[in-house]
Amino acid sequence: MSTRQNLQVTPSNHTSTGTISYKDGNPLIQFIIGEQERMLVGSSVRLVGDLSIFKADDTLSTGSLRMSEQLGVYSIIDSLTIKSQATHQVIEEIRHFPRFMASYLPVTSSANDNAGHLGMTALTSVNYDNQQHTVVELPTARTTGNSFCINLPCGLFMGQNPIPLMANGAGGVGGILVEIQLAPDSNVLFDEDGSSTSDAVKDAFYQLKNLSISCEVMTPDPSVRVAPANTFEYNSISSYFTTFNSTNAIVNFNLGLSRVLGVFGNIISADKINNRGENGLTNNYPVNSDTAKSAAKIEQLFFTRGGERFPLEYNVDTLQNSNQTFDSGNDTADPQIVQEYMNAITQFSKLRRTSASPLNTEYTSGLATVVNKKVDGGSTAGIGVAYDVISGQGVDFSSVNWGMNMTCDLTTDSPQAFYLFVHSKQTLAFSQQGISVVR
Amino acid sequence: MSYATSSDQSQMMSQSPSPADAGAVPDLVKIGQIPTNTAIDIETDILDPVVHSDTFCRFQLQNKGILHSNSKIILRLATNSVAGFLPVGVGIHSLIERCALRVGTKTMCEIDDYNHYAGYKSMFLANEHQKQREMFMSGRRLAHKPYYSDYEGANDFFGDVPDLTTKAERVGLDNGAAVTSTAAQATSLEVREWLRTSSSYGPELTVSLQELFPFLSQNQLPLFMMNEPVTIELFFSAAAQERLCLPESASGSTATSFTIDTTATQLVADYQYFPQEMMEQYAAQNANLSFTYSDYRLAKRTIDVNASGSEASSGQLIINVGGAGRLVTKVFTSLEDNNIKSLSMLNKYHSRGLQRVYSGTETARFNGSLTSNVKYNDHFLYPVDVTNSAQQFHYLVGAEGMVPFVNREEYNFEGQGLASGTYEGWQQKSEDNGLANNFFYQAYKLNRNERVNSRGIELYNTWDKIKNSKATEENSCTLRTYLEIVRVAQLVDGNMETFFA
Repeated sequence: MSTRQNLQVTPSNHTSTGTISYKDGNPLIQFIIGEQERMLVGSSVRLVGDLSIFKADDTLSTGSLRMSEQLGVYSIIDSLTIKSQATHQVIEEIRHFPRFMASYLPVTSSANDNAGHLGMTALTSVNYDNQQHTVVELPTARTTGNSFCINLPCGLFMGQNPIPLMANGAGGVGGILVEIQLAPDSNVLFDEDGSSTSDAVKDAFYQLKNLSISCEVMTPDPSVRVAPANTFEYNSISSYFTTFNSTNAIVNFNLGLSRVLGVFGNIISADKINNRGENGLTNNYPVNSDTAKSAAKIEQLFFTRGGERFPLEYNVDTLQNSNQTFDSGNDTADPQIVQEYMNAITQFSKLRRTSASPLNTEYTSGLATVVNKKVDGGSTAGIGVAYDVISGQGVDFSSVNWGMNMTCDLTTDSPQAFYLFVHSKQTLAFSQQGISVVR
Repeated sequence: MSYATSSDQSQMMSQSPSPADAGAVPDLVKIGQIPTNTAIDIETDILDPVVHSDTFCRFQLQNKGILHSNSKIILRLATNSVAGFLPVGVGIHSLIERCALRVGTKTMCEIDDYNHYAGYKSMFLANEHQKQREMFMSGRRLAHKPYYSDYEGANDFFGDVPDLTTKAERVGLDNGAAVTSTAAQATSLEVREWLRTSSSYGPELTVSLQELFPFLSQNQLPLFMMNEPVTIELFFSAAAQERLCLPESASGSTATSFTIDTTATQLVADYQYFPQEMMEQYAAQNANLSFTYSDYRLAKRTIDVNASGSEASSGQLIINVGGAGRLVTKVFTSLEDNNIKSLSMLNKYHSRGLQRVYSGTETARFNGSLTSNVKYNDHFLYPVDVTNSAQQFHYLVGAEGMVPFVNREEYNFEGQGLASGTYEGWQQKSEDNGLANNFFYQAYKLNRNERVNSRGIELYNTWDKIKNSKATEENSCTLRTYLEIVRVAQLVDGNMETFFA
């Protein structure tokens, strides 16, 4: 019978009790879950620590300083990389991690989750003002800080199978190296009213302390021999980035992935990124650059595979399409776009909890005073499509291009950043010669 | 009533599929899926207790069919001129201090301080379920919603949406009723009428058998195969202070006894019948039927709290909670402030966290922490003692396999996000009468698959200052530790035997 043990791993490149912050020039945190005759239970991996937020002069935060209520402490992780400790080969890497979480979290968790257990572990909230009041303005930031304990959503850790930590030659990955790249303060903290130079936000920073990773490992039953060469299948997230700035946004990527389950993406005006006057992690549909930052509503959308419409063999003509006979000026996001987006993140028929609502998926102005103050946990806008929710084997994009063609009202010069995430099945093969990832 | 089962029977039941193939008799006792073409007859009996007083009642089941685990016991409180209301966290479960399921003279399952146990378990009910189902069935109603602010400073809002801002500084209780509020804050929320006593009404709600006896959520009792009488015994909590909470306006009525209306107590027992052939075959194939299940054992200990103003750390307390020689899968603990009873929203059924100081100099402020670990078989469960309360919350989730639906200030007393408004006169954000800092339950999953040796299980706990809820004198808390122990039930020729695995 297998038995389990708990492990607690402190960063290998920092002192265990020291404070860590992007501002102090320590943006990289490494954890080593060493090579051993055990299996790592991926779903048990948690990043544990305390988060404090200070103003530029090292005083406690007050006023209009905020962080994303949707993401909470997830907003500080810029990228997540998992490597083999023995060979340093990259097993999985998620860049733009908070952008991925900005799609994943609101679609898969409800308002009550955000106010309850996610608020407890990840410092999220159901409302921006509540998050600001309870987390950013915590009176004990100087001493105890906001305790957090988050999972690290990625294909490897969310898989069902335990991860063999044994040496490469003994059928394992040779230990795991988890690297967390911290996000810049300017993309985590912002002024809720759009003033990047206010005293509240100017050079404000976050600080972490008592960081560790806790996890469970499993000692296999001695009677069960682990094969010296092994394969391990898991669902992975690959990230891509592009911009568009026209009424006809055409996006094309060579994914190089053979078992794609779905793609989803989110959009933000490029001028909001790394801007202390704006929430660089919000999701919104495209917006124009006029004074009112009016919404550039999507009129038509379709996805392609190798130049052919796929999986929908037709154009999605939205409620805002000028060909429609009813009021095309309404602000309600097209339900098919919202449904396809949610379905791409998690199978729609199995989605039991979500924050998406007509109030946080509607088209709005891109002004900070509007975008930063949405109800129901913040904006949940995005675009996506699922390729395989039945067999789980995915669709082959290894040799054909993935494409998206979107017509929208983007009539001004307003570059929009588009973060695309591809959910695909991958296989990790390990043997005495090392490890390789079959994408 | 007769119907064909579908794969989606009841969300309250576990849905592990039956391994039975088409040719075999399905496992009728194990809750799960059975072939869709199997007809089931359900017979419902309304049973009156065979013995009933204000402190005890006993039901005897008839030995027929298979007892449906979701059968319900109806309890009603007598009318009272004092408007007591059911505790927010546990509802009608506050009445039951101990419950026991006996087969013949043998005790199959028994939970002591059941109402405290229910306080822990009720946390894991989703807010939506509490608001939309449990408030009507058991009186539990710990659901939250953001309290949005008003533009105009009007002193009320009743769904007049254009008048609301998008801003909600505070989160508070949601019981489906409008919250009276001002621009600055919600001011008051009242308990729903059917959950409080009046001179003409007593709350009547239900408790399901699978909540009283947790093993019934996995297995059903094949009463038709049992020769001995099966009885359910309920021991009730004290009539004054422990059953209902009092509104702030009735603070002077703590001596009021809230009695049980014994004429209303009934067991609505659902007996399931499968086709006779199938039941006979099942009985023949399972003349010697055995299954493992979890039972709970309670260990209690008093923790002293110094007088207000001079509270101090408890120092490391090593507490042996038993379990020697047993297979223990889980341990969970609660810490009751013995001074907090009916003058609160949760009554005694809470678990206190640590003191916090949010005023004064920045370096003097703190959120108290609990340093915890568990030792059994000469090894600690965690390699490093756990002090991070979010991590303790994570272990609670891991032990239960489900998340508690409480917010941060309710669990570890961090942040100031609970509504200042009142519920029946008690401030929701109050730690003495309200919700804050009253759900600091701890749980430990003993994951090494080992039998506990003769030394038993030891809790290693160091509490920072525990705030004294009394104004001046010393106080005490009760640490309750429940051990989830694996037991085996064996039904041989109609006679039930139970023993520890």
